Amino acid sequence: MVRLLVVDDQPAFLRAFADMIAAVDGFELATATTAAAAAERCAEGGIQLVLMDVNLPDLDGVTAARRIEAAHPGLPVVLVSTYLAEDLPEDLPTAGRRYVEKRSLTPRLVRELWSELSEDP
Amino acid sequence: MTAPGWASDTASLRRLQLYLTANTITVTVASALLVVCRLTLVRNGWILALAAAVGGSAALLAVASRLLRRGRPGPALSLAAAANWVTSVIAVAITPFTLAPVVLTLLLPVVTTLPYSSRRRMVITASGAVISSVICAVLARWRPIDGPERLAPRWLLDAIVITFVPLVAALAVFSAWRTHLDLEARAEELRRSRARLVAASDQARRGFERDLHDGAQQQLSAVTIRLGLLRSQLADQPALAAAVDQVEADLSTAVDELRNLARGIYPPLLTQRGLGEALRAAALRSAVPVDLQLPTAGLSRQAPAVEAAVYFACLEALQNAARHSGAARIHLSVKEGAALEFAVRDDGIGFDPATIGEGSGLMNVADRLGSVGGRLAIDAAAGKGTELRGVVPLGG
Repeated sequence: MVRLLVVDDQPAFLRAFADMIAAVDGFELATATTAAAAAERCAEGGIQLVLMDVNLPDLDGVTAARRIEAAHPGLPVVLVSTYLAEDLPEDLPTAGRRYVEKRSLTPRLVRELWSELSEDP
Repeated sequence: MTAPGWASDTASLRRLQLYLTANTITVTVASALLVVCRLTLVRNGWILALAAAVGGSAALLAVASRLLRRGRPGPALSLAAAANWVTSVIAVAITPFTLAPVVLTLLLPVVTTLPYSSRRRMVITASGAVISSVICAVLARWRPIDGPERLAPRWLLDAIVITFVPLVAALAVFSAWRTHLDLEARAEELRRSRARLVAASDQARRGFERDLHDGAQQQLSAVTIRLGLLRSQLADQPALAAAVDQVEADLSTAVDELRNLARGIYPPLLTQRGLGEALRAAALRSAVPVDLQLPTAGLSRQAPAVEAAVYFACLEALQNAARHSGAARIHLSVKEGAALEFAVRDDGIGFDPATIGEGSGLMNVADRLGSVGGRLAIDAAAGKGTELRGVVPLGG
């Protein structure tokens, strides 16, 4: 069972995403609504993939992702938001970070993401 | 209650009050000195008449001062000006040698009330001063009343002229200087008020963008995810699956339109990452290819109003080039030093800058730049492309 942490402060998105993950075999969902809560949840262990919103109430998602990756090497963090990639800061894609538009999230894409990122060294 | 066209701010009214009070005291002292003069040096009845006229003027000035205190600056200053005209004419009629200081005195109401007057009152005040000057000049040459001047000792006449000409000239210059400072302060206050309006409008725009992003866009993303989930469960019902696909496609179009609307209201990148990133994104979206030239070290963050002014100016130029110019290429550059300078040049058909009217996009751009102390220059001609250059001083 893959433990997936979604970090977002938007309840509508969290509910929809939780329902979607419930329909995907092999995934278990944990949620956090702030960067601090996400860091705590990761520190508890067991998280294998993080989906993090670009805008969080306590910190921007890019910085929060960097901190989690620094604290947990090998734990992949994918950034998500409703913005188009072209509306995101230039250093975000160049940092080699995966970015997914929220409306593109489907059961298939989640499986593909996991399959791709879990194979990365 | 203040009459239309008159300054209502306390500092201006206090200054006018001071002017009227000083005037009343000066004229009262002059009237008393004339009486003393009549009793000691110049034993002539006309001097008493002059003392009475000057005394009457002091009384009118006292009434004017009272009117001003009661919040009626218009009638107050009109009365003061009228007292000034009548007294001046009487003074020159009786003592023609006082022409020079008296004519200078006639200018005082004009320069003193200039910043506080409506156009109509200014015309009346200025006309009164000119007409009174003409009457005074004619009386000084005609000398209808002969006597007081011949009886007065020469040194007294010299002393009066030598003392009062520079004194009244200094007063007029001082009043003009105060007027200049007042007008300068008003211009600065207007600029600040324009800057506050633009800042308030930008704050509202940022709020709308955030509301659209955190509200409608998030909800629609959630609906899209649910539709995707529903679609994945309809593999064996092709008709329903096709209907869901259509709803998904329509929803996707709505999300795109909503996002374009939100971005147009206030680009989130401008708030989060500043001018350089926002211009980079705008250049990528441009329908005409853009050569973007930014400082290698990037642009430092500036006040939101400054970043927004330059961003929306460049955006307007990019959109105009794409919509109207038929340009094949646009060059956009931004430099940062003591000022933020930008230039957007296209190779399109150009236009006649004289055709820019009120309410046009470029006029709004110029107003927005002006609100942060900047300015816009348009270099365009039919068939020769268009270049928009702007500069905003930094560190102010």
